[in-house]
Amino acid sequence: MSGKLRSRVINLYKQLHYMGKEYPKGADFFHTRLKKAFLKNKDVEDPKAIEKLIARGEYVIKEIEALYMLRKYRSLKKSYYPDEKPAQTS
Amino acid sequence: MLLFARAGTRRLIQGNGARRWGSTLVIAAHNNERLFPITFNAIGAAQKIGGDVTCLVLGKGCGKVAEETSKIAGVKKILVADDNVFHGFLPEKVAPAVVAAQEQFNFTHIVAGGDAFGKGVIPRVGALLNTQPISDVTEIQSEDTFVRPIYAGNAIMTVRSLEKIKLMTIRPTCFEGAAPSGGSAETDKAPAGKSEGGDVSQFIEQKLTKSDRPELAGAKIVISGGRGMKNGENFKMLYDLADQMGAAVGASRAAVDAGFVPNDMQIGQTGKIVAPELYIAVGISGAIQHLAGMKDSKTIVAINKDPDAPIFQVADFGLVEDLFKVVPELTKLVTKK
Repeated sequence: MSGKLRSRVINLYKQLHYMGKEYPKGADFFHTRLKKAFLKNKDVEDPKAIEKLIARGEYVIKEIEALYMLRKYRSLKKSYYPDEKPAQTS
Repeated sequence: MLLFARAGTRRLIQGNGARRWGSTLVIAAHNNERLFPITFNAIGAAQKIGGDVTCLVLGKGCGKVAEETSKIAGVKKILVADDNVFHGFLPEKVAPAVVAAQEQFNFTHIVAGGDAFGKGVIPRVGALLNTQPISDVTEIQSEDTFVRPIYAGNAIMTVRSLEKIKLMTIRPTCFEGAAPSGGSAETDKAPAGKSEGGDVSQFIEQKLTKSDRPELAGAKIVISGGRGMKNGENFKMLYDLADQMGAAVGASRAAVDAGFVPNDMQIGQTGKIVAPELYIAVGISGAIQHLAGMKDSKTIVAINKDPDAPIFQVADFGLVEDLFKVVPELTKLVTKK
């Protein structure tokens, strides 16, 4: 693995690790799975395949971001608007 | 003392003037047979702005629609143009007609529903009138202050428009529809618009997917399927369940991109935005694009065989089970009742 790709993979791992700290099911749950997913592909050598896996990881970051956002949005909504949709208050 | 009096009078005149001259044009969306429900919401929104509401009905053989429109409560006047050029409701043809009506009657607001038709027409009208349109308005605070979502619904913005003519599309789920009867509007002919660009585009045909189920945007219950449905035929299971529950069926972008279902069923940022009481996600693991379209649902139920699917973290109820087993079972249970 060339040095450039290597650092990108490590960066991705760090980013995912950081995002997993607040995973609703617990950080441990997320981190063990994260490690497993990375170890599973540790022997991948083809740069193109690595690019693909990095893209996949970036997609997962976005998904987790969206997940946190939606969770927050829904719990806020539940506490502020007990019985109506926020957009309809007028 | 005199100064005070003068200032007071001036304000009074301004206040009166705005009310007296405030008038709103609603562009009716219809299929030449009947009005689409979104038009009632648009008229409802127009009434909130205040001032007279005028409705513009353009179409080919749209007499029935004009009649229907004239009965809507709160509509003062309707402008009708029945012409071949409006066949297929091409925005290129509709926009100049809207501009012509605007030039003749000088409306302060032009409102259309935020459906495919309104989203196509309003920007064109904006360009022709050199005015900035405001899209997807969710609330009207005053005649020039509106609320709309930005960043795919992640933030809500209150805008004050300084344009002389306020052009907008409204989000139908946020406004109550006007009563379909109780009004008696006078009917007038709409002025003909200068068609610009000639016949660059032509209407050839329209293929509609027919469905007896409620419309996605207004349904109380929405069942949607994702990539986990595997193929288009399996969606039949969802239709069966939906028919029993009086629900609408939607799909995630993954399912639409995979060609399982037509794209008018897509829920999400680029698809339809739903806010049902009950939202059932079947075989959807979670996708940002999709979440943006359903986050206002009251109760979210997720069915997925993967217990780690992210959607379980946002759902109120989750069912970890193979959907091909559970959905028919559910249908049976609902039918029994």
